[in-house]
Amino acid sequence: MSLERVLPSGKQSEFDISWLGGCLRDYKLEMQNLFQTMLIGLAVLTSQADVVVVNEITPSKAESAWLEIDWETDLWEARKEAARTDKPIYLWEMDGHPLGCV
Amino acid sequence: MADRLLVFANAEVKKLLKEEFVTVAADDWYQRRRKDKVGEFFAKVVDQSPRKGVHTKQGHYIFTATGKLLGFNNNRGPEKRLAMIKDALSEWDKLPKGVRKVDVPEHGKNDQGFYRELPKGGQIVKVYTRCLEERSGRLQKLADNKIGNLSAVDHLWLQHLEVRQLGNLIVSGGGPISNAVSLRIAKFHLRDNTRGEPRDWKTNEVKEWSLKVDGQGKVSGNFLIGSADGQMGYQGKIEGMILVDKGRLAKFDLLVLGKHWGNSRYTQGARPGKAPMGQVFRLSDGKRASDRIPPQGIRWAPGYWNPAT
Repeated sequence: MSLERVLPSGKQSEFDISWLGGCLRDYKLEMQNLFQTMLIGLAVLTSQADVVVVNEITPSKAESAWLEIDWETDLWEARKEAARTDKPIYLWEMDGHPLGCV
Repeated sequence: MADRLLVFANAEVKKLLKEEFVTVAADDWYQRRRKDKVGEFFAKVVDQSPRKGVHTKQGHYIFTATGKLLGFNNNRGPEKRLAMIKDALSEWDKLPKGVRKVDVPEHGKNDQGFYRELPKGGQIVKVYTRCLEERSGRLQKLADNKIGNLSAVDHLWLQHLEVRQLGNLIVSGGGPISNAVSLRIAKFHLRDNTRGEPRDWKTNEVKEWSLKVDGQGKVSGNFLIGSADGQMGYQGKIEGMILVDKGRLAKFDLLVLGKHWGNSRYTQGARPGKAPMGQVFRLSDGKRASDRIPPQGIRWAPGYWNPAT
């Protein structure tokens, strides 16, 4: 269940699920627990907006597809592995680590 | 980063790289300068490529364990990259075994001037940065066609002693986080690295700064960092949680939200005016090689470890 489907679009206030209505009083607690679980470890960040924005900032699965390749970061280790497995080496060289910021 | 998406998300490129190659990625700033066996081996490969005699050695190289170059390309198009990979594999298949195989010795001491590794007992925090914009009443990543829409990745390194000090601070009821950790975050990690390599902040550019943790590990802070001429800066607030268990970080989660502005030399193309940017800091177990690459800001290591200097 995504937060976008649970939360009313555009809600920016501090964590508050009163909008769920009185008949959902017990559900509120359940939802509160759910939301807190969905904070992806950011347990202290308890506003709905925080949860959503954390997901906006971190890489999506599509953005991380290149990490499905098992990149070595040590050329000498890669050389040893290539010799051992009888494979050529593919080196991706950039100013600023390719697996880093740029 | 566009390179990653365009080329490495290509199914055929990805399959070939995973199955037919040993893949390695390196920061050219270090590697082209290394005066050790690794640097010598890299130079041998480069000297067979169009990068011979050129200052930068950036690009994509395919070669044997003996150092024979089979292909080079610095084009971002997936078709050209794929063609280069296939051509190199064809060359590889023609090679006699003796040219492909070699006994690789240990390389001896690393050139410490251009080699960085996490200190023993240290820990790694991943730092994700993304330009944001307000749409439909909330902060969202930029639309796909805008420069800087991808999430940039860096790593914050903490020394074992610093982690223990953080734990002691929390146990004793909290207070300001030490300058070493706090200013390291400010100068080297609160940066817009979404369009290339930003420059580090200078100490006197950290104009307003507060970062504290309470007795439960809750972190709060705010900051204003900017160039003297006001042309580039970042202002915002920090919230999060740090937990230390038996001298080791069990949690290091920060959310930074603010507004940034301006370009640095290698990060052209900023949006006009002050615009939203967000960062997430999250503890890494360091198991993947990609988690262990050095922080961008550690090229001058003494400054990274002692950021007040």
